[in-house]
Amino acid sequence: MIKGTPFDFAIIIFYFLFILGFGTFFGKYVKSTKDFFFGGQRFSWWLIGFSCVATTVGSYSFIKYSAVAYQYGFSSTMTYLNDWFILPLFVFIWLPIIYYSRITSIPEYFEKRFNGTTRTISVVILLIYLLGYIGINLYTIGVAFNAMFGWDVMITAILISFVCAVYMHAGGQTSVIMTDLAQALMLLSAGFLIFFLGIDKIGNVSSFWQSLPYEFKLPFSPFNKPPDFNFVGIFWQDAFGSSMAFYFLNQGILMRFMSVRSPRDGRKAMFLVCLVLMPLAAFAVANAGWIGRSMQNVGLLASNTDPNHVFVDVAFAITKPGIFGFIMAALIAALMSTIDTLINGVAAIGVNDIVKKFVPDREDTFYLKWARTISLAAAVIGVALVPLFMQFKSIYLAHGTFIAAVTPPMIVTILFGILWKRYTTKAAIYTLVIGSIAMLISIQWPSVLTLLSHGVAPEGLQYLRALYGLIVCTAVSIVITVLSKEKELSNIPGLVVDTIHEGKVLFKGGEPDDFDEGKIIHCYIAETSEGVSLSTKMMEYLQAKPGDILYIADERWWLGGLRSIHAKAGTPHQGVDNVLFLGSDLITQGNLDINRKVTVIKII
Amino acid sequence: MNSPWLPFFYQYGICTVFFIFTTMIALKKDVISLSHPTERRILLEIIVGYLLFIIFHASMIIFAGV
Repeated sequence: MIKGTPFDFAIIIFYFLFILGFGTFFGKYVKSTKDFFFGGQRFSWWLIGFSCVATTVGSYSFIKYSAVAYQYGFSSTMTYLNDWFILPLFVFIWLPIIYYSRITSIPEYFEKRFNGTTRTISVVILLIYLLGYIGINLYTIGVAFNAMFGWDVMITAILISFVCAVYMHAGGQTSVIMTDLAQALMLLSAGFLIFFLGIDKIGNVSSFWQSLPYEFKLPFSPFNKPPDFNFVGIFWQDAFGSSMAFYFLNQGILMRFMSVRSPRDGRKAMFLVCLVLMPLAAFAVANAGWIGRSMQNVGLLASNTDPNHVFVDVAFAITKPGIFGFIMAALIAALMSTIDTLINGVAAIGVNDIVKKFVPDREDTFYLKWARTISLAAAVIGVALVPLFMQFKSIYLAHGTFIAAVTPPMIVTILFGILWKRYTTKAAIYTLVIGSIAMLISIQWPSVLTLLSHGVAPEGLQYLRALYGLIVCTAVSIVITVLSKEKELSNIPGLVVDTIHEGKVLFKGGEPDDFDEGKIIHCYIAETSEGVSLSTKMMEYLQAKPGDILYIADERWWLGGLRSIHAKAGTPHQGVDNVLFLGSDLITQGNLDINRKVTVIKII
Repeated sequence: MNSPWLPFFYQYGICTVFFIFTTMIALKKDVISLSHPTERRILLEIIVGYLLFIIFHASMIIFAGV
């Protein structure tokens, strides 16, 4: 059945054109590979936070979580509401390591921490992970459009990947972050719109609440059943498997946090994501399923509604022409905001871990050209993988199976790598290789998962694959490390929790002092030939010394750091207090307007 | 095996061990210092956030029957 009116089509086409123009516009801010991959390390915490959520919520999220919400209730939120426990590890340990060591990709971390072999293995695993992730997102949007308009799944995948690749090709990370802001706001508002319109259709909140059974309102599904959505399997697959992979392995997410103006802003972004935006997103992506169940219970929705189509069916049933188009455009926004991140991640790995390895020491423009070419190639490969995911019984199963099968060896290697200074290169290689083989064995012979079943029926055992992988890889890591020699700690400054301070020293080129970041001054720019100079009084107020790294940004906060620059403080001047002497090259690099005031903070 | 509290205690049991373990490592390795007010506040915010999630999930279980 074809849903939607010409007006809905017009809204969707307008959205496509808007995002294409908006994303391509930021191409002017890309002058180097640093800009293309990391947006120049200039963005504010709130921009990164929204961008992370836009990336988390893919098109598969609306379809997949609405489907399980419709079948099992509020427990559909458990995947999005269990990330807080990793915060100490992320903000205190992982964030300073990736930021101060200036790594450009996870494989690069592996080479610095271990050796080139681990880098090569991790490139292979990460590319499988990222390209597969692109493929599954394209597949889900294809399913949704097939349900709505009867379009062929592959045609939809090709069309959407083309739009993403075009603006990614132009603007890189800056385009990703800026379009993500628009897309995050759009998909969150679409989710809430569905809820309010749904409640209006049902009557009121009380009618909605009373129409749902007790089990439906519980925040967790039953411990070990049903096989396809039991708590224990989802916990290990999503809380430990997907969440860890998302924050520690997903190149696109890491590049977000490498794009942030300071680790302090990275910390605030993570708080915003986990405490505010993820709960809102959990509600936004799943409530169509709750509304659908309630509507069915009061006779407003057919009892034979396919769970995979419930999002589209509910949206169509409760909206008027135009609003339905907006909600479908939000679904596309969710997809594009995830795919553009993944494409940028593939480009980063392609350039930093493959091209630079085989063609070193070329000009930056050469690598920038490669980054853009790889972005296009990633979109094409993602489309080519769609038929593979079409073979799975459900989208939830396809997504979960894929993530759980690929990520545990990498997750365990990273965790041991950052937490245990004695963890050796040999152990890392064995963990990656044996762990990957063990995952393949569990796919071929799922009976190996029986020992960890927790009482889950055999047909649900694949959800415990992540736990199996974590146990096998942890055991290999510990045994091999104990049996092999310890690597000299001096070789890995800034790459292990023990050496984060040394990483800060290397980052700054001197003794770090990042305790007092937070004081802000506002001043006018006076253009000079080179360098940065604040008045003595302003330097004292910031508690900064010559050599400290300052962050200078256009005072318009809503630009989110788009016009900004990092620079080392020079010798203080004795002139007017609210004047900053700034080199013309830095003004150009930071896209700063000398007719506007800037804010200055000390970073480290 | 089907008490609604079993998943709650399973999740927060394992996650709390992980939470405390990683926090202790950060403290032991001097990545954060409790003697500094800013870092003490950040740690407190993280602990309060974690407690909020525990309270939220417990409340959902309690109010499901209302």
